[in-house]
Amino acid sequence: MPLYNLAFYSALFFILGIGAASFGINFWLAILLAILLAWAGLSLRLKFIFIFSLISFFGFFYFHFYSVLNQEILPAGEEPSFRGVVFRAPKQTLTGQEVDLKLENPYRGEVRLYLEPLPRINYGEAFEVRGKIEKSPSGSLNLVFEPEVRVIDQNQGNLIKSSLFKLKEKLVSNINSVLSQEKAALLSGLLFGERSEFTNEFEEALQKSGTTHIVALSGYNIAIIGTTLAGVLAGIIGRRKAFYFSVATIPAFVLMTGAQSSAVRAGIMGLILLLAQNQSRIYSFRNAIALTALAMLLLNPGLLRFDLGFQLSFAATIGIVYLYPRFKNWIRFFQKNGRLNWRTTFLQTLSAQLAVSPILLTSFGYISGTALAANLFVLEAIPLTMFFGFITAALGLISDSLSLISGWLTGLFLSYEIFIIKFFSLNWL
Amino acid sequence: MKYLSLSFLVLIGFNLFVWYYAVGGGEDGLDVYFLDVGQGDSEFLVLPGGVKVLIDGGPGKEVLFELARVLRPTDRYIDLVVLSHPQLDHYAGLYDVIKRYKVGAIIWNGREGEGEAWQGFWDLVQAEEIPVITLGAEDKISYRESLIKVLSPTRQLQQSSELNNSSLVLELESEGAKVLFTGDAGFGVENYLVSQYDIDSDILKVGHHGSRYATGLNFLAETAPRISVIEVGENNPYGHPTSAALSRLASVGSRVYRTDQNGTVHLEANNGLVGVDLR
Repeated sequence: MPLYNLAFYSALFFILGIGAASFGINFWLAILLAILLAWAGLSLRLKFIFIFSLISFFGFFYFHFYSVLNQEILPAGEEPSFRGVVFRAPKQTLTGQEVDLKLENPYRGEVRLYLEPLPRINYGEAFEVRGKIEKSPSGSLNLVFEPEVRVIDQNQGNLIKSSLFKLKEKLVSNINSVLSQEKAALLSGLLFGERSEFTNEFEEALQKSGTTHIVALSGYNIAIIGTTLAGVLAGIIGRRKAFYFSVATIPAFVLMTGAQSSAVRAGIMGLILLLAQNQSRIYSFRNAIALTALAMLLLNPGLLRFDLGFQLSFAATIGIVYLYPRFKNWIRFFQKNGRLNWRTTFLQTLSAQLAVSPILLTSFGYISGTALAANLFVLEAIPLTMFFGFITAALGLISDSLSLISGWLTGLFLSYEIFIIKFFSLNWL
Repeated sequence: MKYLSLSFLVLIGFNLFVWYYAVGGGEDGLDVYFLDVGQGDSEFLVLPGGVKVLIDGGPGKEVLFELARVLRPTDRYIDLVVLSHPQLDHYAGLYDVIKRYKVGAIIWNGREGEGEAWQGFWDLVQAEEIPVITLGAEDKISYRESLIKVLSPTRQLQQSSELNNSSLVLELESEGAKVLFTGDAGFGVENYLVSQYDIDSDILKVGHHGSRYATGLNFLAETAPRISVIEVGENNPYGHPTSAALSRLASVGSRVYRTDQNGTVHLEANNGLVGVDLR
């Protein structure tokens, strides 16, 4: 068996093991499934059937091993006090703040605090907290509503992260200072996946029109940012340097935006793609996505079952890569090239929607009936919006008046997108 | 050549944009907005001549959405920001206003708030180097034909053990209309106002979100507002506005608007005529 197949199957079976463990499937059943898949599904030879079912077993074992090692120890009692450090950039929402805290000894785990809008909390601050810890409805988060808090230390976080967060804050505030609230909120979502200033109505409109994905950082956003940057830089500093710069920028960008699963996935796959091009190797999508998933699951095997962003991101990507070409070959109408690429957009949206619909149905209970149309209209305008949006945010670092001009241009696109999103979120049936 | 017409269009659009914002605006008349910011206070005034005054900022970022609806998209300047008294549902939103808008000056009653929240707010005010002006009873602000009189707090009320009673109470006279802004002031302040001033008004911002301890009958008899506006959030935990306050307002025949039911309430005064604009 060639090495690339070996690598792919190893990753696949390991993930299979993790999946079985996290969905609580019986161990023997899981191994049986792995053997069946290897024997009947992939027609492998006996030696490999043995190797891969062993790898499945390792995956199964790893999930439990990891959860025992990282078992949370929460303080007990009605209103316990505990200490922790803010490990993510706090979300300044419309009515308050959401602060994620990593507990300190003797406790272990994470809690989310809901605090008043003031005083502003920063990444890396350490707290003494007193309040009641509740489980979120899904059971995956620990919530503390309006606890008593006292800052006991500052700058306990990672230095790189904290400066990246500051940069993001500055860029977002540049956007805010030239665009009106609603448009600025959407643009921050498009560029940085920053959704804290979305109103409930807008959040709902995105969901109903099936366009939430445009504000969840994904391969789409990262590809646009990457190609724009690389294109501009290649002209200025030359191709070689532009490559290294992109390689450094992508992880920085993913970190800056809070390392959401979808962004991490896109970042890793983007890096693999860049590397393949640079080394003149063949980029195998199958291997890239399997290894990306493996890497992310090794860091946190819980993602597979409990992180909706992880599931949606992988499902949509697989859908686009495997379903889209089939649709295209199937229907002759879509093989023509028209203006604005709308045929491609249509089929890609269809492929992604089909791939994520089982997940949407099980977790939200509905899928959007207008998603296809809404995406067709919105996606066409997104690259330009992001391009001018980036220029606006960056120009703000130099001069407010300059960014006002590009802000106006960006605003035109944004109001079009907001209109479409709201229009297709109306109840059509 | 392919993009010639496109670039032409962009240039024309840009021209319109520049001229609209350079020439547009500056209409006459007084505009008073009672902003729908949830459970908290925020009023926005545009005086005849274009001076903009924001009284309080509500409990959070909602005020930014409301301001964005009222102001032109490129307008990032507010002449005066007034903080009636240092409570979170009055100043928390001002934090974001100060971050996003340039503010000419901040007017307050000189009474410091408590805790880290207040410290954070005050640090920002200082970091932005915004001039701070302390006003109290007998002070006045005038701009063209408009006059804002500060009726309260006196030195004594400013130190009141009840923080609400240290509220800046403002009376605006402009375009033939009198508007009274009472902050969170309760009965004690109201009695003082009745004894000291002629407080006959056309429009009243109802004190303390319609709490039962404000908007007394003798006070209402003196103010006799044609229009009253209550700023409250839907289903707030305090039970505001209370039926006590509502029935007292009804008994003097005042027309009541509420931000929880009407959203932002926009009043336009022009030469003694007051129009109500609800969206």
